[in-house]
Amino acid sequence: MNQGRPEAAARPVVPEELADRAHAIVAAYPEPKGALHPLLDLVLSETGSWDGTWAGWVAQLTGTPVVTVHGIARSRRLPEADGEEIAVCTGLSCRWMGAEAVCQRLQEVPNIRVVAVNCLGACSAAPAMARNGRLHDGLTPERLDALVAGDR
Amino acid sequence: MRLLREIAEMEERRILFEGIDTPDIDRWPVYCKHGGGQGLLRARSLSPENVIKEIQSARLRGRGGAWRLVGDRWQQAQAEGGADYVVVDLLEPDPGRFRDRKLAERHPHRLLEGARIAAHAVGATSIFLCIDAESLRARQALQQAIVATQEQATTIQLHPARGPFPLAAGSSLAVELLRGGRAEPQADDGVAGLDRLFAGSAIVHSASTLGYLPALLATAGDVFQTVGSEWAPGTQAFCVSGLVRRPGLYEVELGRGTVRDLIEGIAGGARPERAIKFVLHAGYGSSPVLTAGDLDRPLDPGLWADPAGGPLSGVFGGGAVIVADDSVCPVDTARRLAQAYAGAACGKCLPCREGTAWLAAALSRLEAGTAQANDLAWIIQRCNHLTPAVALCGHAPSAARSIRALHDAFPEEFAAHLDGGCAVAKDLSMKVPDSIHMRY
Amino acid sequence: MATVRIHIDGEPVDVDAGTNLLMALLDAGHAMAHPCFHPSLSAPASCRMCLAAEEVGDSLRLITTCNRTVVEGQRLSLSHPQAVAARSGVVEDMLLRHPAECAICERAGECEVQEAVFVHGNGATGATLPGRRKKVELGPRLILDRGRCILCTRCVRFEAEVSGTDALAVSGSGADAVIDTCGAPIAHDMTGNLLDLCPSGALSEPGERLHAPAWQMTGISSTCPGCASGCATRIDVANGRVQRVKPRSDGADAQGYWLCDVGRYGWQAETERLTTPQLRGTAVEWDAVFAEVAEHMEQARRGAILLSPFLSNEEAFLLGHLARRWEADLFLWQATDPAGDRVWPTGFTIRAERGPNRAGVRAVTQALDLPLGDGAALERRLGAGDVDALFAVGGSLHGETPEVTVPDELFLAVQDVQPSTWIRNPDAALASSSAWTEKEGTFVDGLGRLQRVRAAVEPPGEARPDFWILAALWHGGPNRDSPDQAFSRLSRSSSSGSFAHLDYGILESRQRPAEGVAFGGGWTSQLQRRGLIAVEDHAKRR
Repeated sequence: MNQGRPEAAARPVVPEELADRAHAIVAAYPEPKGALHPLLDLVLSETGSWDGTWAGWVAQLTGTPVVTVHGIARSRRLPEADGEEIAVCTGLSCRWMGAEAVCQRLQEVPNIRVVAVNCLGACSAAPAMARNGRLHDGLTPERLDALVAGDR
Repeated sequence: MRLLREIAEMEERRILFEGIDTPDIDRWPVYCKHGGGQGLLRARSLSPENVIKEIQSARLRGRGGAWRLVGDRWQQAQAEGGADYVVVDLLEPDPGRFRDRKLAERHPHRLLEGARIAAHAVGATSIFLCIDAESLRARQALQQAIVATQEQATTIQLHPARGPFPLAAGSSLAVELLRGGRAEPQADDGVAGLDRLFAGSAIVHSASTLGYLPALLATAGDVFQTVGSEWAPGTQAFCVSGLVRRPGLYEVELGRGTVRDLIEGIAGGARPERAIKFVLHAGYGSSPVLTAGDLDRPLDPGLWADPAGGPLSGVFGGGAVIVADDSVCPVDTARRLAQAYAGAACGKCLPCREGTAWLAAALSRLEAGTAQANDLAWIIQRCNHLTPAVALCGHAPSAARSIRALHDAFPEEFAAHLDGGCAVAKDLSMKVPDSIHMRY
Repeated sequence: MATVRIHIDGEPVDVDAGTNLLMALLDAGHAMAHPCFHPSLSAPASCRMCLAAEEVGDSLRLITTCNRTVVEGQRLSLSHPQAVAARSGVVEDMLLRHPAECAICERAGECEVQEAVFVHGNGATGATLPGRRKKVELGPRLILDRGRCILCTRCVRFEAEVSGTDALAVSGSGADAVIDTCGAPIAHDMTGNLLDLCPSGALSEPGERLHAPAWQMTGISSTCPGCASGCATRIDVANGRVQRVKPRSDGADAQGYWLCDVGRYGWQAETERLTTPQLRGTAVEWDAVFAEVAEHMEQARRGAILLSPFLSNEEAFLLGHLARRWEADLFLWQATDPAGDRVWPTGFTIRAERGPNRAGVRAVTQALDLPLGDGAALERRLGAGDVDALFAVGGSLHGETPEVTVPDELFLAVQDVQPSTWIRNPDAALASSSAWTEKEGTFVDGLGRLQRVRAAVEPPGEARPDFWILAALWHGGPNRDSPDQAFSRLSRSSSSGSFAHLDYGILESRQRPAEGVAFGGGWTSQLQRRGLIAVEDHAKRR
């Protein structure tokens, strides 16, 4: 009867510290299934990408079918596997306030992948971008140059 | 960042964001020193029934956008035997809205205090804060505040979930995220009552709604006696963004001024040599697009909510105000909105999944001047079709309403695009380069 | 049960309290497409097709009907312009990406998308989106065409709620959402139901395109011989050949709307058929076989007849009479799955008792007051050399075999579907009919329910129905005796037993048959019967 379940054999190597955090999250919910979204976020922010082998781990922790975990994960915003990524907000305000210029400037920087995202919630301080999850808003050409130069 | 620092002519009136400029107000001792915690103390000295009575007489309405009376909801919850969980909705996927996250980021203890008051009123022992996982600042502030105020009586758990989330999806979205399901709302099955969660029941509140509770309880409701309109006492914090001189988060008294006072007064009006063209008064669905001539609408949701309110009728929304000046092309705005809605659609219900994708594609063609002859007529026809109940939640209807409203306000500009023309010089309403990957 | 009164377009309708509102509308004869709703699954109300206008005070509001129960005094308008426009609008949404390839679609003619277009559509759509063109294999018997998929999620819910395997999920969001197994193939014994569930032809089985189109198929009501559960089936026939077997969900005799893959695909397994009667390995005329068998069995001093649980009651009745004539002893072997009953989360069961009519055969011998031994008893008699002629009937449906060793010296006649692999080369081989699709008669299932089994096609070549063979043996040659008459005789001969006071007419009236043009799975065939799919028109045209 369980032939339909994907093989959960390919298990990720879970660092102890990560496993402890995961168990603490699961324990905070009356039913383990409730922890699914926080655990997905934990995996995504710790590993930087969605590798299918994690689905089995999350599925086991939450008592959810592996396919369901996969399906939900793939419906979420997933970071790309490789390279540094900068998410430039292209919501209405940011577009009007110069997201295009931000994109163009960033495209000149090597080894950075630029993606346009919907809204970073910094509308009153447009334009904005997020780098490694850190929000930078009120961007001006000077600030942008400083940000880019600061790292390189 | 420009947040509540520049005070303009029209007065701000802070209840929700009271004390937000106090340095380190996100730290528990500082919060207490400035009167924080008094509301919860007083609430716990009262019976839940009395707390509910106070909130009922204060006529606090939900700030998520539905404007329902909080006290009445609590009374109903109590009639059902109380709620086991208070779920705080901080998701805010709506364009131009960032108020709840700002509150969490800058004034986390106020939010937690409000949530604890609500839990006391409905008999809940657990609070879940449902937040977009990528709002790192807000998460951090809340987590610190939770750790600083841990107590036995009520547990608080941060529930970060990754987006995208459908807009205006209602309370069932947050509940579904807590159940570990797909980020999809549940269909209305005509059964009134609390949302089911785990083996119990849950009541869902917007973060901003809860933020009013500490002040209301601390003053026994006095603070709403003199502030606000009769239908909606109190204040509303507006997220003013877009092409104004001073975009920001401004809390003003409801029923006092007009949209013009807010935009041209507090937010400083249009930038030099520009004129305001239209305002998207959005957040939780969308209301009619306000053109420059419409700005004298009073900031009173009661007047907007009345279906017989004539030219005022519409949805007051959840406090996002996106201002566009004459450098903005409304077709481009419609296209961008359609893309955002299509990208954030959850895909559960058929009309929204297919409809928003088609609207985005058709508006892209229209904006690029490559539309087919019937496209504009079909865009309007599809918008008219996507009404509430046809779609499962408010997501597609609010997209349709915004697009339709932009068209109704600027029919000539939409028609001109059919022939490839655009009346606006595109210095600002520009496109993101094609080489950039779009992700929602 | 308490009833409530609702008003549909002004007409009062009384329904049982607690009835699903959409079901109430369908039962009242209203056409309402509902691609995501299925009566045996949860209702997500996600296709938004079953919209009706509900009058609340002076105003109207649109509601979905599939996820609500009837409320006393409820006033619904299906024909209100707002509701009509909303439904036709949703049909248009559905067609934005759905490919217009009905001409080459396996599901054409029994497709709920087509049905929705006929019932609610307003003719033309001016808007289209480029569709997906991707076919993926979900399992050995399942292909998903994502271009046709309308994401109703019936299959996902089936896998979660009925098969319990959670093998499918929606992956991705918005317009990119797809049904996916995420790599693991679906392989359980209920997969065929997904074909019946799919409203749009997105799920198909390999080779399905080679089937005759739905409107050329004739459905024959029957009962599944796959095990003692007695599931109601419909055998779809076209061009004189069986095309497929579907569940038939018309009464208490079915296991809901489902049929397991054993019952659905079992008939395909019998590829190697015995097509001529044979004497000692040589094909002969039937008359020669009858004479040989009758002679040996009559002359035998210690004759034995081995009955099989795959026999119909009527066949067992004739064999009982033959046993009396030949003074032979009766034995019945049992086909049992050693793994035991297989029960799915909803209670759907594949029984360990593989023979569909073991209870019936026993009841018939009891009615005739004949002693009945089991396989072990026969084995003992054979071992002791206490049998000099054996007539063994029916069998190899699942390849199950009675565990008997038959000595070379005694006369052995075997009546079977395939060249017998379970018993030594017989002296006489009687080529008979498959219980899957060629048997006429009645079965008594494991719950003691008496049900009709119907022949959908003729046995191949010179093979003949078991009843015809046995009747010829009884009457001394081919004749017009029928299972119907045999059943009436059986009924008369058991004045107080299981079959008393019954005839085929009474059985037919209890069992709602599915004759006519075949249509989809169990649920669709219900709609067909309610007149909601234009079956009559198809039938007239033929």
